[in-house]
Amino acid sequence: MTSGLRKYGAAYRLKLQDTMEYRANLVLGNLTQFLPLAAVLVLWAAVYRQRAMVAGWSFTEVITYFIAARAASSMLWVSLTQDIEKDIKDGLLAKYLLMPLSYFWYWLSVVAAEKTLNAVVVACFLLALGLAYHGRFFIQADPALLGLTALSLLLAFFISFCMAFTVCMSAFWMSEIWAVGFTKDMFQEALSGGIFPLMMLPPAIYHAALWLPFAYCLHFPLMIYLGKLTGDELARGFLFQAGYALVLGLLAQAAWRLGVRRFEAVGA
Amino acid sequence: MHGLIQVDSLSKAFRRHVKDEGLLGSLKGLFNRRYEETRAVDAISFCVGEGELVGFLGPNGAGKTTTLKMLSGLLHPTSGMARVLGHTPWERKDAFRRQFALVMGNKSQLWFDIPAMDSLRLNKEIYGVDERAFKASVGELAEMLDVQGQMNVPVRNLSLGERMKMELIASLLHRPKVLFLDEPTIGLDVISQKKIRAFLKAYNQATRTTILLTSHYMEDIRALCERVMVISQGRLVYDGPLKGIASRAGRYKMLKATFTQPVPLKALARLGKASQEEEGRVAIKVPAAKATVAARELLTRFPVADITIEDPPVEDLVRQLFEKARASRAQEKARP
Repeated sequence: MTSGLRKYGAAYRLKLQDTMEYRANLVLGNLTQFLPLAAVLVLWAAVYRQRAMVAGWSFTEVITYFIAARAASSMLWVSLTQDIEKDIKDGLLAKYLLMPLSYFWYWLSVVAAEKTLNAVVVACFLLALGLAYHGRFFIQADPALLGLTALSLLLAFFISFCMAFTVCMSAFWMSEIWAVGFTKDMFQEALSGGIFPLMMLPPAIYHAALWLPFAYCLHFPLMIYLGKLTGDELARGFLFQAGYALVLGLLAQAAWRLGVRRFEAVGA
Repeated sequence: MHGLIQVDSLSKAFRRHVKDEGLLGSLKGLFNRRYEETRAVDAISFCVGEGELVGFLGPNGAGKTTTLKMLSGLLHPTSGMARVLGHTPWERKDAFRRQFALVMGNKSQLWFDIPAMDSLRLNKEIYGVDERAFKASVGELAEMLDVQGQMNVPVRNLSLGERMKMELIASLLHRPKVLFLDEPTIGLDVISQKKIRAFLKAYNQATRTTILLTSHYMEDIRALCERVMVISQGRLVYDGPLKGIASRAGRYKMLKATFTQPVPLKALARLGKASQEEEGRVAIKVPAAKATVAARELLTRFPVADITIEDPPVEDLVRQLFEKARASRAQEKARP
C-alpha cells in the first residue's frame, strides 16, 4: 500500500513538474475556454430581460451555473485518447508493462496532476472574477454543501477518468479511436449538463439522464453547489455516483485486461 | 538444462491483414478481410548462463526482437516455453519485473521535457529502490557513462548519444540480473557507439549481469559478444563463438593485391571471384585450401606490388549463413 502510494505519488509529482514547464500553455489553455461563454451569457441575458425566473432559476444562478460548469470541466474533463492511442499503436505501452506498475493507476495519477494545476489556474481566475463582479454570482456559504461539492467533484473526476480510460482501451482493437472518443465526448457533454442545465430539460429526459453516469460527471456536483437538491436527492445522487465510480472502475480494469491480452498476442 | 534463461521450442506466429492494391482493395477489405500467418519465431531453443553476454544476429524481420519481447513478457508465444530467472516471463509477475530490464534503442522511457534525473526518481519509486542505493547507482553509472554534467538538463536538449546513456541508467537503476538490449546503438555516431559498447563490456564484467543483445552493427557483436546466436527467418541457424561462424559458413580466404600496372578483372577470373576494391587494388575470393597456390600464381604471373591473405569479413560469413538457411528453407517448402 505505502509502496503503491509512493509510486503513484512520484508519477503525480513528476507530471506536475512536466506541466509547469509550459507556463503559457497552462494559463492560456485554461482561460481561453471561458471566452465562448460570452456568447452564451449574452443569450441568457436576453432571455431574462423578459422575465425574472426561467424554470425556477434566477439569472444569477444561470450565470453561476455556466461559469462553474466551464470551471469544473477544466478540472474534470478527461481526454486520454491521443496519449493512450499513441502508447498502444506505437508500442510505447511496452515500457509500462515491463515495470512493476499498473497502467490504470499510473494514468490516473498523471491526469490528476494535470487537473490539479488546471484547478489552481481556474481558481485564481474565478477569484478575480468574483472580486470584479461582486454580487453578480451565486456564492454557496454553507460549509457542509461546500464539503459535499468537493467530495462529489472528486468522484466525478474518477468517473470521468474511468470512462475515458475504458473508451481508450478500444485502441487495442482499432488503429484509430478518434471517432470513438469523439462520440463519447458528445454524449458526455450533452448528458452531463455541459451545454444546458439538465434540470431545465423536460422532466422525462431529466429523469432518464439521472440514470446515466454522465450526470454524475458535472451536473450532480454543480447542483450541490447551487443548493438545488433536497436531502433525498443528495443521498440518492451520492449512491448513484459512488455506485458508478465502482462499476466504471471495475469496467476500466476489465477492459484493460482484455485489451492487454490482445496486445501480448498481436505484438507491439 | 540450467541457466538464467532457458528457452525451449519457443514459437510465435503473427496474423496480419493483407490488403489488395488500390482503392478497390481497400473497399474489399471493408467487407472481407484476408489474413495471412507468418511465423516470426520458429521453435528456437537455447540456454544462457549467469554473466554471459550473448549477441543476437539476424536481418530485419528475422525474429530477434520478437524473441526478446517474449523473454521480457511483452508477447505470449504461440507455443513452447521459456524461463527467465525462474519465472515464466509472460505471466509478468512483479517479482520478475523487478529483476530484469529491456532497453529498446528506438523507444524511450524518459520524460521528454524534464531532466533525466526526475525520470530516474520516478523509476526509483516504481522499483522501490532506497535512497542510498539510488544515489550510489546513479553516481556510479553516470560516472561510467560520463554524463554527470547532463543529469539536470531536460531530456529534449540532450544529444541522441546522451539520451541513450540516460536510458541505460534508467534501466540499470534497480540492478537487474538480466538485461535485454534491442539495438542499443541504433542511430548513434561511431564515437557514441564505441562508448556505449565500452560501458556494456565493463558493466557486464563488473556486475556479472547477464546480457542478451541484438544489433545490426557487426561491430557491436564483435566487440562485445563471445557467443553469438544467428537467427534467420525465425530459426536459430547458429549458436556458438563468433569465430566458429567461419567454419559453418564455408571456408574461404580473401586474397588482396595491389598492382603496379592496371590488370583487367577478367584476367583474374581463373583464380576466383575478383572485385575491384579501390584504385589498383583487387580482392579475390578463393577456397581456403587453394589460397597459397592462388597467391603463388598471382605473384608469378601478375605485376604485384603488395599482397595479403585475409580471413573474410564476418559480415560476409553471416550473410552466407543467412543465404544458406534461406535456401534450405525454400527447399523444405518446395518438397511436397
